Amino acid sequence: MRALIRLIAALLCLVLAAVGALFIAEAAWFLAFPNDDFLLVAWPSIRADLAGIAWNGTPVRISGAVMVVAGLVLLVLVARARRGEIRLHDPAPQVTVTTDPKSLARLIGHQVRLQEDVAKASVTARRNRVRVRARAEIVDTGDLDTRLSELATETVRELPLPAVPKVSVSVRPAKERR
Amino acid sequence: MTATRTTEGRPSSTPIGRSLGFERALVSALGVLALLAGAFALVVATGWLGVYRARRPVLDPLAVRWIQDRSTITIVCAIVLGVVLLVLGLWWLVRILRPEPRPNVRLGEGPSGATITATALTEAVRGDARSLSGVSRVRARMAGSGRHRHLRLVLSLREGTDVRQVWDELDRKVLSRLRRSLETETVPAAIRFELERAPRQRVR
Repeated sequence: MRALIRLIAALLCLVLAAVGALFIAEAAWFLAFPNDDFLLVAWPSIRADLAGIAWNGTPVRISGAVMVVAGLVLLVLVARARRGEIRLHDPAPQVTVTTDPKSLARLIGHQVRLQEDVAKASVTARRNRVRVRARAEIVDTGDLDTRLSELATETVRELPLPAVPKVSVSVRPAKERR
Repeated sequence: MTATRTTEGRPSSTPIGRSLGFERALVSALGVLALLAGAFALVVATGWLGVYRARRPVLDPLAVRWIQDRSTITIVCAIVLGVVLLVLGLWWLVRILRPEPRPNVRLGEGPSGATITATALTEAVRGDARSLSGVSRVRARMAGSGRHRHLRLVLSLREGTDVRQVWDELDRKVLSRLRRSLETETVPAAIRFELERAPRQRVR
């Protein structure tokens, strides 16, 4: 997402520069050859087209709506281009320590998969929430979910995290063999 | 023991990566402009600014005539606007595409001071950090500029490594040594742990 913002910003600058160059070229052309109509862009036909469209025409409404949507999309992109990094305690002044959510998920996932009776597990982590979904190897899961929940909470607590994320665990029993 | 050291004092303000502020501002401005222009077009089209205005053509003949009567001023305005857009566009583009600097570190003030190159410093840190138990890979670089230079460090940890221990040793062994050799109270640094990136180390 952050790369996308950089890309859009770079393209925008490129377009600005290109429009500026076009303005200069057209104006200079007009000064040099006042009787010639245009250099690169067919202004007269564009002018005729625009003069033929009324404000309440469909093209205006459609392009207006498209611009509103595009503007909203850009603003949403900007709002979402944030780092998901999880902050750990600072070991010393002006030292920022972070880890990424995927790392936290891997850490808990490895621990959970090492447990008995766990066939497979998937973990998603965010700054304030860790979710573990496990499939048991046994039909009767018993207290497996409490065990996994304690394990995940313990793992998270052992990290030097200023705010401990909430842990939620769901265990599905093994499918019955027929 | 050391876990809550940071609850005293303010949290570190060292940025963890390249700032995106300028790019965000540009894209936000573009978004707001598009939103406003689109909304304005819709407002005119629905006739809220007058039913008569809504029936007029988009390129109003009145406006066209007004511009044609002042063709010299229009041309001058077009050239000025073109130059401004071209310069701004290229300047901002260079700013966005410029790679992040790797600043050197200055020791001491005035002519008696010495300069440690970014490469020398990061090599030293990399060597120190690699000796920590459980660290499989270290990436280090200098970042920032002016008074905000800082060290950026990425540590990949092996499976089963005690993160808290590495976190603790990092300060005791790597950062404190750096502070001592640079003779400063603080060394701004942004450190990123990548957990469980390499298989568990077998004990032989």
